[in-house]
Amino acid sequence: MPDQVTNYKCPACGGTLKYSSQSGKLECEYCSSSFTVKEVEQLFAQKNQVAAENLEIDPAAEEAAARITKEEAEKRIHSKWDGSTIGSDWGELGENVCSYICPSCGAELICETTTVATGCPYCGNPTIVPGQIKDALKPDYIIPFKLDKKAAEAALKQHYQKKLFLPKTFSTENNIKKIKGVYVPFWLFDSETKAECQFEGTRSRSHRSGDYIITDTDHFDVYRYGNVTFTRVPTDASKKMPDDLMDSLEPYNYSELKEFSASYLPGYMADKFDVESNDCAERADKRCTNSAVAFMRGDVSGYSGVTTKKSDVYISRGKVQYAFLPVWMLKTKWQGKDYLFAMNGQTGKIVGDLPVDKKKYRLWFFGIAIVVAAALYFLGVGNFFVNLIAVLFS
Amino acid sequence: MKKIFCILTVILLATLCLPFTAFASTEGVTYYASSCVKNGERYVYKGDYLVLNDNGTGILRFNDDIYTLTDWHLTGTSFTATDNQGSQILGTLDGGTISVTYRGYEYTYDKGEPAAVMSYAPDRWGGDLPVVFDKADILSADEEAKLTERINALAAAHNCAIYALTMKDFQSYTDSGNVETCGREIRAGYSLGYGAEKNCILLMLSMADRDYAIVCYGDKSNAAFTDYAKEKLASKYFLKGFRDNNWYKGFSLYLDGCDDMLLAQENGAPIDTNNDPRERTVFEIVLGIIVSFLLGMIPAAIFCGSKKKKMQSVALQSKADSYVPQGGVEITYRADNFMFTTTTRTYSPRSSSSGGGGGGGTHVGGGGHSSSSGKF
Repeated sequence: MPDQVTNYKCPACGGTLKYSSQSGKLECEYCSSSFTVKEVEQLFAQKNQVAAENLEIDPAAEEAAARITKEEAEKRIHSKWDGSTIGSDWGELGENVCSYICPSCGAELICETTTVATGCPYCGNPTIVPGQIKDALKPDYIIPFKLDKKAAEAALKQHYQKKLFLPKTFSTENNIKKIKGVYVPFWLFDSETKAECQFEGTRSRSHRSGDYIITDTDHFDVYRYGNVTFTRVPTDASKKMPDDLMDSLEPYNYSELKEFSASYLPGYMADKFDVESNDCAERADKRCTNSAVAFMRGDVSGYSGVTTKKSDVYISRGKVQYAFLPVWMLKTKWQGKDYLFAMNGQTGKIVGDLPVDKKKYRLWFFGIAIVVAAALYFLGVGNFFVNLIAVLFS
Repeated sequence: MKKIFCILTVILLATLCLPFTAFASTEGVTYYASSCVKNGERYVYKGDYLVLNDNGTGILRFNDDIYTLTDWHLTGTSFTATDNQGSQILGTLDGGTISVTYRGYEYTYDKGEPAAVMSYAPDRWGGDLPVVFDKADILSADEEAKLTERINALAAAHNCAIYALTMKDFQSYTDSGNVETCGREIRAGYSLGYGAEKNCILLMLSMADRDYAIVCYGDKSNAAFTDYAKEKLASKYFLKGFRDNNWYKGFSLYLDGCDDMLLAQENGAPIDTNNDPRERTVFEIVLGIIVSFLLGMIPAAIFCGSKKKKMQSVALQSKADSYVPQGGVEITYRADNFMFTTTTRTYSPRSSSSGGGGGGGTHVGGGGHSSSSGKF
């Protein structure tokens, strides 16, 4: 169980502070006071120091704690209930879950060990669970949410627009079951690549000689060597997040990267990484390799045809950084099936596969094919090809 | 003595001027061939004749075709003329006899009765006929007016005259015994056609033995109404009306066919053996539909594929181009080394058949006419 649970209280009224994506400040829901991240950090650093000092010089509290322990011991002596059959040991699952007490309503909540920030399902109190990240790496950077929940909902509606093959009932009968803003852990890889590529370039020219068309093709061995620098290639470091979904949200605007502060977390969920950077590096390497070869290929010009014969890419791995990037996760249900969408909390780019109305698809496909076929037939194109076939087989 | 000399001079002058006075009194004088020799051998000349109009035009029947004379002259007894193909007719006109050389043949023509064709519309000879000329009187005045109106519109749209002619018996207007020849004689003799090139098509019905003839003249008309098209014009259009004795319907269908065929020619694909969507076997039609459908599936697949792709927005990234900073790409070595040259030869004949088997086109006679005929 985490040894400390933090939620930020308003210094003015004691209400809960939440990070506002619009103002970039922590705002009180009750008295509308707002504080910058720095102010809150300083304020709570002071409070923590005072609390620690009080804890050291208050022997009465220790005695009181001891007294409660004796009373509990007495109660246990007189207890007749057999609790041995209630529940069972968490076993291996216990390694993945933990519990904490909501500082607002006192409810004991269970969450995954990777959860860094969450909200109480009873009182909605946004909470950071610092115990979870006590032994883990602190993120280097964070991109704060710029878009709120309403923007995510609007973006999802927009995502449904102009989708010809979207089932009619999908947008009408489909309800958002769950929407949550999540800071997803990402590894950002820096690398220097050296690419050595060999291509075959061809140039062709044709001329007629009697009843023959003569085509002369010059073949060239083309070499391109070069260096390509990549900075902060992202790969998500969460097992829970589908890689393709997270990849599809790119790119993020790194100019808005900020040094990590827990003050950005209230109001959103946050998971710490559960995939090591070494395990993600392969994905980043592959992307860098492909890009490096493409850059070399792009430098080859003046040929009618170019094929890659050989490509050697040597990656010099640089530093890895750990960042929290903002993602709105939207889960919907339609005809008993769940659909997952994600929106880049910074840029508003929304992704998620939509179902295809097969009936509508077939109708359009054959409709177009028939109309075009009719036009071609009446324009004589069909007959032209029939004549051509007749000539070829005659 | 002096008086006798004067009288003889007057007689001589009167004799010399006889042909002119004869032409002046009639619009056209007909001369029938009485002999035809080439390289000392006599040839069949029956039916060949020459009509000289007083306006310098005329027609010449030669080798079963009718030629138009554009310009004939008589200087003394010296006769010269040019036909519509540019061939010269040179000879002498002495009294009622013309002796000429034409295309290597030595002809002798004797003046005779007016050609039969001249009696079809005597007051129109050498000029023009109404586009609907119902000599057999099978159309009502209202029908004639409607057909005339439509023909005029089509002629203006296509720059090609269209005629609908009827007669009781074509044998009354030709001694050839051939309805097509009769049609050609009418076309040439009455100078039918549109514009300077005289593009035209005429459909002529002879009611006695239910004969019809289609005659075309001019490059455009001959290009549009190929031999195959003429056959289709009859079988697929006007015969459907005429066989039911529905003359107005038949002529209306004839005009429909003319419009279709002229339009096809204007679109660069005249109706012919290799270009007739109406005349294909069931197998060819089915194959044409299948081929068209397969071709139609290409844009359908492109359109639907692109729309479907928009539904799928989730995919792993394969590249990291977005994460290359400015100046992050440095090419350190470039080399383009020529290795060798390969040569391929592809057979591609210069002139390739467009299919449909030969035999297409229009058979145009020496006089510039093409024609077909049949029974309705």
